[in-house]
Amino acid sequence: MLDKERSPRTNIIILTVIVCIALVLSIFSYQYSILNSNKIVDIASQEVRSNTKIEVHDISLILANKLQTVSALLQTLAESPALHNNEYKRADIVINSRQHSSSDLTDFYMWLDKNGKINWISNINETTYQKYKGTDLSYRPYFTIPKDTHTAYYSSLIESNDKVPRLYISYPVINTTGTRTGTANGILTGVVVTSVRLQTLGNFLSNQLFPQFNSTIGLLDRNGIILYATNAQQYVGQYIFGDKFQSVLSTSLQPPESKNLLNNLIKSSLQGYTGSGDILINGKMNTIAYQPVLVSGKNFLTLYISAQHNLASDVTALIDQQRYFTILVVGIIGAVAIIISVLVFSWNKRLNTIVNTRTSELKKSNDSLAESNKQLALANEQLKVHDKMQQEFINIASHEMKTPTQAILGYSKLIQRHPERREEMLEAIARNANRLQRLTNDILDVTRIETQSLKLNIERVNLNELISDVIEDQINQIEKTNKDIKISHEPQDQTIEVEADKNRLAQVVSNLLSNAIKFTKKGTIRVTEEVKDGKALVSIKDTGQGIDTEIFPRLFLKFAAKSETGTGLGLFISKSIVEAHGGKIWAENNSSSDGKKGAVFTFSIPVSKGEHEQQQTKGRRQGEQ
Amino acid sequence: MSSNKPRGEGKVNNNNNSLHNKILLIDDEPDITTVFALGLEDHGFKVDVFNDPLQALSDFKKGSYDLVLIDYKMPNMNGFELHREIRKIDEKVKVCFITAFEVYYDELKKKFQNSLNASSRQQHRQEEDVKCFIQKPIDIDELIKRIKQELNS
Repeated sequence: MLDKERSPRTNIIILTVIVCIALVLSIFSYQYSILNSNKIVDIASQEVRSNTKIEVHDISLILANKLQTVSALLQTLAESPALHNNEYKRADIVINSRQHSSSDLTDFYMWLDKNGKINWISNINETTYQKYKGTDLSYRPYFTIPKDTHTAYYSSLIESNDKVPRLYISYPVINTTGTRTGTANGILTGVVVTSVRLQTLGNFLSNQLFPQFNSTIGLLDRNGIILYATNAQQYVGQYIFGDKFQSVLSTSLQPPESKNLLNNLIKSSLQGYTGSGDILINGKMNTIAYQPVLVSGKNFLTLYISAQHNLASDVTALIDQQRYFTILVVGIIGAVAIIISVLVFSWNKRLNTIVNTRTSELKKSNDSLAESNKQLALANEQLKVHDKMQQEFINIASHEMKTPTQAILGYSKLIQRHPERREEMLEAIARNANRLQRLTNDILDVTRIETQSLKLNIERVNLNELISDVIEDQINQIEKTNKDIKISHEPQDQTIEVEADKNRLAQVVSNLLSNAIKFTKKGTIRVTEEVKDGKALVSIKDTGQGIDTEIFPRLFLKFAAKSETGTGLGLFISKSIVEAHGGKIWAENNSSSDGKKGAVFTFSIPVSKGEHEQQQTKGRRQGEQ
Repeated sequence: MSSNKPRGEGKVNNNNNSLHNKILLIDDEPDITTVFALGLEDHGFKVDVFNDPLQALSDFKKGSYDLVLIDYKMPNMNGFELHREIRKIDEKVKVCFITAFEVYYDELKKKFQNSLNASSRQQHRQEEDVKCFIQKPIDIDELIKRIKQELNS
């Protein structure tokens, strides 16, 4: 019982443990995978950041160098004697050579006179020269500021007369001859200017980008005017904090706080700082690094490089692989958990089945043991009953023997004192001696029956003759008792032959007939015999008192009935003899219509083979008819 | 069934003649009653004989007998049952059982109790006063001796 109750609970516990282990393993595996991929992302991002910083640093330096070179060229030009002496022819060559030296960046070199009018522009032909000669540019800051300050000037974005946006660097041409002390006291004779076309600058910068990085470049002048932006040239010339550009940022940057981050970063950069920052733009992280471009120690421009954290495709593949692996591991763990559960359950079930089978087998063997015990007890009981019956038999038999013995002893004593009754007493002695003799014979018969040593001398017996002989003997007995009894022999079938012990069979008929006589006072005793279903049936029907209902159930048992002259063993012996012949004996009380009582004793005995076959043939013929 | 045969007054020994000399004898065997009755009468007892216990009971009257001699095994009514019925009528009459059974007193008593089927204590006590059990076969002279002993006790 306990096992049955325990097993589902154990199963649930086992299942829970397995599920928990699977869950924990899955969580660990997933966490590990996430951690790993995050690390990979971090490393990759770090890489992007440092690369961006390196790039902005490198490019700003390259640009600064380049501009420094241009500035130096311009300075040497300003100090050229040809310009000081207004030697136009020679100045041509000098100016053109400068342009030639820095043509990858500069658009042109220009020489203005002291009134701000064009003296010469590099690499122009006579016609163009004639067109521009004397053009007044004295309002331009690149003229006014060197003129006033006698120092170099680095312009902000300027849209030139030809509508091309340019940056300008200008130097004053100062004649120091005649003055001994510094240039500040010299006389301005003109200004040399060089221009950098924004497009050229942009192309130059783009060429400097590391091709393996997916980065973009931006350039602001020191006032925050957009000079260059990769793939966004339409915004060139706009003020970065102007309403127009800010509104563009508002619409194009998600989430909104990214705009503020960007603005803060730009403000910081315009103050001349170097740095970088991560800004989420439209769902993707970008690192923006910035560095000012210094020319002659002056903050001229600010360079920005932005790189998206787009992981390299193999890194993405690696992370994907990791994720697939994790999913696979989790799946495998789940599958293993399920398989183990199924195994545990089926194992449990099989164990249960085995236990149940064993239990039922045990129970069966116990039952059979109990059954055999019961049978033993029954056999023991039967033995006891048998013992008791044996004792009872001895008791009753001795009683039956002592009674005639007492009579014989008594009479033999009395016969001397009562000689007048000598005859009567002698007869009584003989009668009791006979009784003893009969009893002895009967007890012997019973003993033979009970020890199964009753031997039959089987021979072919004519049943009709046998019955007739017995009846004749009994009639003689009746005559002695003076009873008014007649015996009618009414055989239904002639010459019935049976295989039997003649004497024993006669004993049975005699016993039944003498019983009938004994219990009948007056009337006719009918004896009939017939063949029925291959058996001879013999009936003895009297008109006596009938069988006592009290005795009826024990009728064929030892000492069941008792009479003055009987031993109480006759019917028991008769029954045993009939059964030894393979027959049956039974009794019934006569319930005839004439109201007369009486008993009917019938016994059956198999007819001999020939007789049987004859009967069968007869029956068959009747059947055919 | 009953045979009442008082006889041989003249042959009675007078020294045994007393007030207690009337005996009732009940046994289903006629040979036994004949032999016992003759023997008792030879010694001066007056004997009434019955072969049917029911008949004996129906004829029984209080104070008629000094001693009742009852066979144990009889048809219709056994000796103990008869004794009980007689006791109901006569408390004082002495009783001897006579039996051919190979049993001792205790066993007989047990047998008797069983046959009573839940006897009351009073009935039990009544049985306990019976101490006279005579075994068949018995010599007639021995029988007379036992009966005299019982009558004088």
